[in-house]
Amino acid sequence: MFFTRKKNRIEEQTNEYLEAAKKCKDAFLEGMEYFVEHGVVDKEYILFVQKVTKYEGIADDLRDSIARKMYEDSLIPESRGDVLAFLETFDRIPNRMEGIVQFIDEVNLAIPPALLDEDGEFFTREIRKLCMGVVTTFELAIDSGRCFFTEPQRVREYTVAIDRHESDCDKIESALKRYVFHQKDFSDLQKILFLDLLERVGDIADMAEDFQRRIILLSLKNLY
Amino acid sequence: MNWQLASGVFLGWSLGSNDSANVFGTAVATKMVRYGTAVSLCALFIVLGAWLEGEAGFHRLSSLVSQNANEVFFCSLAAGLTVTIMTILALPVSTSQAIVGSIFGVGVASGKAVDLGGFGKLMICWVGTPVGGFIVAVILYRLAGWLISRFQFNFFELDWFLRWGLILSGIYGSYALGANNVANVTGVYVGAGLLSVEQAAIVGGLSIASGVLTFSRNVMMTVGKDLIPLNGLGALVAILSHAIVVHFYAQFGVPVSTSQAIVGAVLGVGMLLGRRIRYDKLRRVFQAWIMTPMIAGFLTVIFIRLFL
Repeated sequence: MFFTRKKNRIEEQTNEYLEAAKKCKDAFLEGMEYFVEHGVVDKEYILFVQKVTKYEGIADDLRDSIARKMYEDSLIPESRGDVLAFLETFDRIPNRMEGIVQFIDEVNLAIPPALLDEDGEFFTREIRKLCMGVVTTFELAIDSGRCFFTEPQRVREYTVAIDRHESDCDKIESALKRYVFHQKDFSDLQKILFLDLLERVGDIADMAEDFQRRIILLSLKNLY
Repeated sequence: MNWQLASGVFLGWSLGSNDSANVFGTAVATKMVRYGTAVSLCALFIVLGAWLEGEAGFHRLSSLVSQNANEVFFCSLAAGLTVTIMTILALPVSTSQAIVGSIFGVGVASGKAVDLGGFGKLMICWVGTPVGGFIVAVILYRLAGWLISRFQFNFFELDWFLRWGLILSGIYGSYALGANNVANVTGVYVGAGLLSVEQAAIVGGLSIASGVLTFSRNVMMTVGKDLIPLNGLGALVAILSHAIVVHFYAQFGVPVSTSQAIVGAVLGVGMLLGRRIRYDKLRRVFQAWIMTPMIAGFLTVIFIRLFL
């Protein structure tokens, strides 16, 4: 822009918030990869849970601070509404990631040992793909979120990629559910728990897609 | 100071309490600017506008009907009462139409010669005011939209631009209000020889400012927010457009209605945005425009017949 303008605190904190979400995502992926590789909840896995919880907590604190400062820094009402809508839809995703890693810990989920060797290659490979897919979808949502504040006219560019990844994740999730229910190595309880886990993980991509839809509408409002 | 000035000061107070909503109503109602800050800025720039550019209107109003000191008192009193009643009803009334209606009432009550040509010219400008507000708003909104797209404002830059734009437009609108409307308040005293032009500008400006500072909150929520829901840019363009139209007429000494100018501007922006117009509110506004000069003229006739 041709005029100079001091960045306000909200602008800085939205950047920090998106960074915290990114670190939460990275910690989530590390934790899930560890769990898929080892198949049990151990002390090492708990460290990943704590890491995800830490970054999710930082994101929550920043979100609350942004919501408070919007009135102190006198954003115009339209902008306040847009930022609140952005935060409300986006924040569900780091919350979900924290919920997933905690769920695995709380129910002491374990992958049957038979599926950790070559016979179970499909299962572990596909779970990795699903986790990678939802994380990639969320990464695209983060980038789209950054564009919302810096280059609103570019937000739409992320829609096709997010939709594609979300669709791929749906297919992987569906295939994994079928596998779990046909696999005799899983007890009935394990089938239900893994079904729950797969749905929770798959929801991340759905939430990212919902977020993208929401901010497209918000960004169109600010294009003249 | 002559006691007859009291009614003029009262009219100025009524004008300030009613018309300040047109310049800062949107910003205050949507909590972009604190009420205290808005009224302080409004009062200051009204006085400046009245002092620096209010002179042209004095000569025009004082030439419509010749009045003595007592007639001037009742003329201003009737106009002030009319504006106050409309303010209590939260209607954006035209003080210009109130005072012109009162001046006409003086002519009717006292049987004096009335410059019908002058009245006619004023009425043509009254019609031109909302039309001008509409046209300027449409042009400005398109221009602003183009500028925003061309320079690719980001979210926070746009917010900053709109926020400061609203404040600066409010300041300009206050200045234009003072420049254009001070003649409504003290123009008749210049004609009656009770005040010099400079005295009239200061007394008029300060009395309008007192209305802003003490009784403007009531009407602030009505215009803009209530008539058509506008976005941030729409509100900015509406206020700026109305200020431009009012300031334009001030150059020719024609006191016009800031309320009519803002309604025209808000309609222009609203139609560009494809928004739903609240016709019930619009109807009440139009009714106020018609009733105001009639009530003011009627009250003036009653006062002069009863007391003079």
